[in-house]
Amino acid sequence: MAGLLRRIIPCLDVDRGRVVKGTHFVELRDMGDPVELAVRYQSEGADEIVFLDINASADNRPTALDMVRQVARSLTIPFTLGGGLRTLDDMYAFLDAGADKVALNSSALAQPQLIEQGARQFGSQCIVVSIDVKRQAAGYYRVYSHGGRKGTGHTAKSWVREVVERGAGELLLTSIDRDGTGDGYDMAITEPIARATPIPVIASGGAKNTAHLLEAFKRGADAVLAATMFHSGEFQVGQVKRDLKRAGIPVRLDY
Amino acid sequence: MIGIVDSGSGNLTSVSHALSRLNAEHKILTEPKMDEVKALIVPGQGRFGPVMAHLNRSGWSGIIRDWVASGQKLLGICVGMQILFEGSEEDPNSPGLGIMEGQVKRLQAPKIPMMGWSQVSWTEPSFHQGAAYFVNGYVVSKSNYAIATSNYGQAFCSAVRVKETTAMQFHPEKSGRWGQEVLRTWLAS
Repeated sequence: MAGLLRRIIPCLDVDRGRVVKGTHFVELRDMGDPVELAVRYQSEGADEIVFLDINASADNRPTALDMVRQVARSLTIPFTLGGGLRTLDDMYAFLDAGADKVALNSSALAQPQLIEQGARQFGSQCIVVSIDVKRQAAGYYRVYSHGGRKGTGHTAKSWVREVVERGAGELLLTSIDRDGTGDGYDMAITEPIARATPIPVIASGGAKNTAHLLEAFKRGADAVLAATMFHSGEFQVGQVKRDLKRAGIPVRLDY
Repeated sequence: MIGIVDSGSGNLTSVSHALSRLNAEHKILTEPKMDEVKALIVPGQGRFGPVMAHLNRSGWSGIIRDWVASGQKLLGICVGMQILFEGSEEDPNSPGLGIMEGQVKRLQAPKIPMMGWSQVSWTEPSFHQGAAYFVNGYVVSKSNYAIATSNYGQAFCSAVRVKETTAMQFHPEKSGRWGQEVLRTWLAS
């Protein structure tokens, strides 16, 4: 990745217009206004923001679109919206509202052709495929859908290969086992996938401190997603970037 | 008044928002109606071929060539930079506008598309050095018109200029405060 700076991406789980964060995909806690938080992270040096609408439905679609429009006006850095995108029209609505990328998860598993349709229509660069995996045995990970509640027939590696072939532009790889635990990213699966995949891979799930981010970058992640460690105020994006820089990771410091 | 050309590739809103933040008067031009327009921005995302097809179909190609030939100010962004050249490996059957000599080539890098932040080294003193946000799988490797270079797997031109025509491979509208400054400098130039 010579030449590309490693990206730090705060993730905002959004539920009906508020930022929430849970553990193991449950137990939600209110953590603030998404636009305010995103702007704060941007000024602190975030390279991108990911918004995941965790309770997306037709009823709260207007709220989500309104949030995306506000975010687009306020942010000068790229952002991704995931959650509840089931059709090309859904994807268009959020891209048109100003999202730079959309993340597909359960809908890509249910209708994999959505990935190539989206890639053809809007370009691979705006199609992120979000993959939630759970360890079954050493080296064997299964893909889950519906926020980690439903198992699928896919292994992590076979599904990654398929979404890349179908035109995904980026992977957001989340470990369900680690999410919200603070035990660090599951590099046993993230490293082989990041090293073998010809598109960028974002490590996600389990980061609690700078050492976790450093390990992910040293072991091949193109970008890291983190939520609680930033939301809690314990870590500040800029300080983390300066610490990473001292540890030899190329990051963007002139924000 | 700045006219943002609807190049049929979406993402005009982020350019529009960036200009609003700079208090620069602008409008989105779905068709070539140039009243009051003093400068053009040609944004672009996605593929070279479809963007050229759209510009040809909607009459923009000729307008942009005339605009440049008459010495008026233009900024191309991303694919909006690439279409100023003669052609691209991405869609070899779609000729570009040919305003600048040279071909757009597939980026020789480990992961494609290039997606993320990379350092931009300007040779023009009016712009500040810094990191820009890139999203592209094709680049202009070398050009006599280069005013900035970047690196991803290979060296390439991240900005070019001929007279009043400036173009950037990165997205200044998505490149944070630094990108806003790049746009401000271009507006003032």
